[in-house]
Amino acid sequence: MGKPSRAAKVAHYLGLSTWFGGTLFGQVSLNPAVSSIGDEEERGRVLNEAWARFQAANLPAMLSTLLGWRLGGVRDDSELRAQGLTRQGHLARRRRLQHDGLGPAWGEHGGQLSGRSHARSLGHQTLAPDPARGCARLAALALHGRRIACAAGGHGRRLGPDRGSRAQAARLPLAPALGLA
Amino acid sequence: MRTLSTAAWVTHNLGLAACFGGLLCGKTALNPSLSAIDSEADRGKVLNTTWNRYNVINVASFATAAATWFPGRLGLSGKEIDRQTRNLVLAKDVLFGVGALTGLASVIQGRALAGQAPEGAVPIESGTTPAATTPEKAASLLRSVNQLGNLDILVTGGIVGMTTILSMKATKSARFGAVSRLLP
Repeated sequence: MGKPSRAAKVAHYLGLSTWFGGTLFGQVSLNPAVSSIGDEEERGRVLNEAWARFQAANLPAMLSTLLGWRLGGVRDDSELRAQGLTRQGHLARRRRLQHDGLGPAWGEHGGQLSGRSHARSLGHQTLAPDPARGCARLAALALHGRRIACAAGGHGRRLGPDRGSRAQAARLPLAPALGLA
Repeated sequence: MRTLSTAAWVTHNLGLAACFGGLLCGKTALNPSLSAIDSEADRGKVLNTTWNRYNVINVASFATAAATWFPGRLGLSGKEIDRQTRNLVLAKDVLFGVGALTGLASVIQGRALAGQAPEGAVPIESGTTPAATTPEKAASLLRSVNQLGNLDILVTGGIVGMTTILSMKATKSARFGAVSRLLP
């Protein structure tokens, strides 16, 4: 995701201001004032020339608005601030979480569920007598947690990884092989 | 969502946009197009009618932008974010002051220019240039209105730019995010 530069964002808003204010000026002020010209042909001539001149100034303004929005990162930025409102924003947030190392595998639901399951499988309640069976179960539960976390989609930065469970899991004999160390 | 603060922010931006875009449109589109009218007196009439009509919107827009800026600015001075933001806030205060003075002066001068002939029909060459038949006082008023208008565009453009930078800084700041939870 591209972050908007200051210049891109300022150009975007200046363009938007020109677009809005210029159109307002033309509609509210210029168009009615032309009726004070006696000759109707002259009215048309002035109006056409004025609007054509404005379009020459407004075209770069519109371009800077639209380019700033699409290519300057303003759109992505606004979607990040309205997370969850759009699918694009939702995906952008997921990408950012993955980029920051807080991806779905260790999101809140996945982490907590797999953490509880790890605790159970590690023997706080029912320790598996066979280490290989325990590790296989752990792998299955880790995958289960990953699926649940993926389905939940994560809920923002506040939902960090379940570090306690991760530390517990890292102590298992096959943890490096399972990617949990 | 902070309803009142959001509404104030939207109104602030719309007010600034109306000021900046309107002035720019008048300067780039209306003023040079007046030469398409044959009668020099009619040129003056259209110029004065259009600008005096828009000045009402312009003053209202600028006043709205200022009215939504200063109350919020009294609560959040920019110190919450960093020193640079604080300086930007002060610079925006200064620009608002300059903009108010130049805008007001421009309105007064524009009224005076329109008063130089019945229905504002002062003979002019274009929106920026006096004609050979323009009375000296009207010519000097036309020049001063144009210079004030140019300054006004720069000032309002500066305020729009500064507002954008301030909003970028605000949305990046965790401290401002915490403080903004207390906004109405």
